[in-house]
Amino acid sequence: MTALIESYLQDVRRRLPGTADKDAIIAELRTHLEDRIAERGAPSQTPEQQQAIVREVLRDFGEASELALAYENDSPVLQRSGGEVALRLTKSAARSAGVAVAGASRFLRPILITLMIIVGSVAGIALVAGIVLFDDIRELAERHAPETVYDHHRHCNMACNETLNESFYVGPGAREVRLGVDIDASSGTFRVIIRDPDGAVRLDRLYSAGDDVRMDNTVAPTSGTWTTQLTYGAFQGQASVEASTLGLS
Amino acid sequence: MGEPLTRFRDKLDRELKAGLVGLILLATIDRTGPAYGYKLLQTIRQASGDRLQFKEGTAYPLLARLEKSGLVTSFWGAGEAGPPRKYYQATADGRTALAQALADWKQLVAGVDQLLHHLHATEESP
Repeated sequence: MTALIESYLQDVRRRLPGTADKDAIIAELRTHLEDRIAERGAPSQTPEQQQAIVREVLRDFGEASELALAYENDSPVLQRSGGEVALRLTKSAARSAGVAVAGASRFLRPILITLMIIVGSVAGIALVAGIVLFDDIRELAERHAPETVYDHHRHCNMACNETLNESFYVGPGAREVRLGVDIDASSGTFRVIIRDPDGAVRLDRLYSAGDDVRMDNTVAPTSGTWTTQLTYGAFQGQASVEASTLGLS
Repeated sequence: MGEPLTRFRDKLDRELKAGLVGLILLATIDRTGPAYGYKLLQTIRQASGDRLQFKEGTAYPLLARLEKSGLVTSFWGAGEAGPPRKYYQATADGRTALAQALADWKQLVAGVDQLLHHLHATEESP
């Protein structure tokens, strides 16, 4: 019984972001799992029954990878300042609901209203959001993961000197965003800064002469427009920057 | 229920909850006073008559984010039994944010209800 829990917790720990207080997080999750298992009466069961209970509790708790990924998402749940509280809450619900409406409304429009009345006022938000966000989200809802949403490639035979500001869009259905950088620098410098829609820096790397690097970095998704700032400083070589999303459906 | 409808409803349910669980947690912490995660989830389940159910693991990253946002604070204290538990309590900022969010939520729900009522009435009229 304990081995299953520990294996699960180790899996979570291994995937937690580097900045997290891993010991505290794991301790907290462990007490929850132990409480839940005890509530289910596991200590008085046979070993086989105990195993079954633990598996069920872990399944209900959620995938280790998804749980760990959620700790990586820095966007606040509610903003502290005045009207932004409502904005955050409303945008979150609206974006989420909009995906569902967009994907289904072409087929289900005649019964959409009826369904929403059944599920009540909560489902009603989807209609409002669907009207507001319909066009943008329908396009995203029709995509299949994984999908490349940004692809920058440059080969500088002569020294490149400039800063490029570009952007890409991450849809509300994305489960994660993969940022890839492939650099082969013979001289100069190349800096990549990628910011999420909240302005938070998700990637900041400076490459210089002699670097021959390929890296993939998976970060938590934030729906909206991400920006890239690519600065070539007397750079010679090849530079590629890509972003792809997983989980759009 | 056909597959498209089921998918639609599952997705709607999942995504809406994802946007609301933070509010639910903060409201529960505010009402119960200092409480640890397991107790909070028990309270939510019982107080909602089992209507509000979500993957329990998702609550903990959200609690961490509430704390990071300064809306709750935490401390480790003794549990009813077993090892120490991490207790959460609302801050003054958290209570202010909660009051505003609840007011906005009620307004949003009222607006959606009114819209749906209007649309439904329009559909039924000859």
